[in-house]
Amino acid sequence: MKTWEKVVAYVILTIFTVLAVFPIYWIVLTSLKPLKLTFKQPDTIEAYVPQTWGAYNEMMLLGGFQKSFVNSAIIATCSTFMVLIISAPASYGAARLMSRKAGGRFLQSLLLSQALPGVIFLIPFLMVMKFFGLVDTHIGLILSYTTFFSPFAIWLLLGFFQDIPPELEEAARVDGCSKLTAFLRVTLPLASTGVAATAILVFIFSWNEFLFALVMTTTNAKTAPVSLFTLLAQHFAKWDVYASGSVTITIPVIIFYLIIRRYIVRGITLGGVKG
Amino acid sequence: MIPLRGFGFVERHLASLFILPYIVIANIFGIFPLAYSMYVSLTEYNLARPHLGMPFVGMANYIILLGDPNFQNSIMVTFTIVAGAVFVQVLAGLVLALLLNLNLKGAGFVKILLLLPMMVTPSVTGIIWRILYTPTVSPINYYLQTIGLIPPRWLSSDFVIPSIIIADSWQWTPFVMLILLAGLQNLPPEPIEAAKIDGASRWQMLRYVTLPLLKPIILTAIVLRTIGAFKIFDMVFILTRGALPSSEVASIFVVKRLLDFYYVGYSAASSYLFAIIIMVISILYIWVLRR
Repeated sequence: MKTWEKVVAYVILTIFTVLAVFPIYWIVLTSLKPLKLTFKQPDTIEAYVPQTWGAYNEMMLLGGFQKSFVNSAIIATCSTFMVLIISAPASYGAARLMSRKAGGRFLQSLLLSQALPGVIFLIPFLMVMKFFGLVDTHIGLILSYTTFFSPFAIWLLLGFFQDIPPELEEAARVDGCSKLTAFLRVTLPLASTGVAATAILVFIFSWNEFLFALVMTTTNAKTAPVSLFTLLAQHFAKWDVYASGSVTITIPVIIFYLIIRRYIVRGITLGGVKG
Repeated sequence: MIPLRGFGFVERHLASLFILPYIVIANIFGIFPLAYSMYVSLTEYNLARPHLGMPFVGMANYIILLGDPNFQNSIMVTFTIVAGAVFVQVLAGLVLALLLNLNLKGAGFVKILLLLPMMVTPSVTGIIWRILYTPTVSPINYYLQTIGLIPPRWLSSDFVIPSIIIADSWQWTPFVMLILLAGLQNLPPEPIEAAKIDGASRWQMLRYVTLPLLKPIILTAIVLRTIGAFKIFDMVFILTRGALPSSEVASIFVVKRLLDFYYVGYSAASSYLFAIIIMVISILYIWVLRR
């Protein structure tokens, strides 16, 4: 490659990197600056350095934010467990136990359901949850998320189960394992990295979910993203507090994504359709 | 014959038992709700007037919807955003994937930085861009003024759609980049080697070898982003603080009819029409991809 070509490549990459990183830098900065500096034109060095944790303290006292983080953590964790308990066997069933034709048909129906927009489930879910008295409860959202994210998890796990050579199970069966124990003792432990990656992605999706949380919760089970909207709607121009709430919501997500970096392509390609 | 251990019943019906929990959940929370909401969409159910019950009105909601200027507007808005966002994201994603694929020094680190926007919670993306678009606090406006440009009124009804396209592209270009990069790295090496031996220039190789080989992956990225962009909700809802009429995308149309006006039947009908549009587009795409 010629030198000038390399220079052009680096310049373009640098511009895009700045475009990608600057908004994130700016929201972190806004959360760590006194509010009056945010309103000033950023023409001094002072405007570019973090200075105070004040907004974080204020955020924790406002609008039930603290509770909403606990809610989000409970709901995302429980949804993740439910999804895995339901999806791992179903996925393994489709990969190994069912006939090729039946498994294929089952998987295709899942894919079709993934293309449906979430809003179509909004009204019936709301009515069913009202009927069972589950509006604004953790259980209501956990059940919704379990339903939504299971097809995704079944598809993602499928690849991981298929990566494990069937000969290993066959060997276990020759040694006297039943099909069930072969799955529990051999395949599942071998697929544990994949199961963990799936768990993390389901956790992130549940943690981020906004539409259903907005419609189905008001106070008791309100999640963090919904709290962020309440804050925006009820407190005018508290930019530092909006920013601190935003940063707090995003940090665990980014850490989780970085942990499963290798599986992002696989995971997001299947999950990117969700919404 | 290998003797079966444990419960013979479990062993014989393991496939069914493994699928069963999902089938149960999918029927209770998937199929039944879909059927029920189809029924609701054929009634005039209004949460503000529950004593009226759910009078059956047939296709009336759908007929009114098709003539509702707000619904037509929301479909137009959604299509404009989808077209703009997918175009920008695929173009920028392709450029970035090709550059990262050169394996320059430091590319690994740059790739992680470029991926960061994709990892941000979508509702938070709404807050980030609300800060960047609000004149009193926007650093972007300041920079534009410094170089002598007049910043647009980002969140005004004239400019909100480009603003949404920018914010959505910021978040999802990394996703397209990642898919295309994976595609580039999995291309068969033989045609590229052959072109090199035949003395093709870098541009010729890109134009006649790499891009044609990458075409199915590009199409896949377009499909995934189109479906994703059609369902856009969180970011727009937060960015516009509950939406302006000029940025009322399809999901927001449905939610507003439900939450602000309590027109349950009407809202259900609009969600069905919206789902039908997405399904038709998905099927068209799959058909194109198969060819």
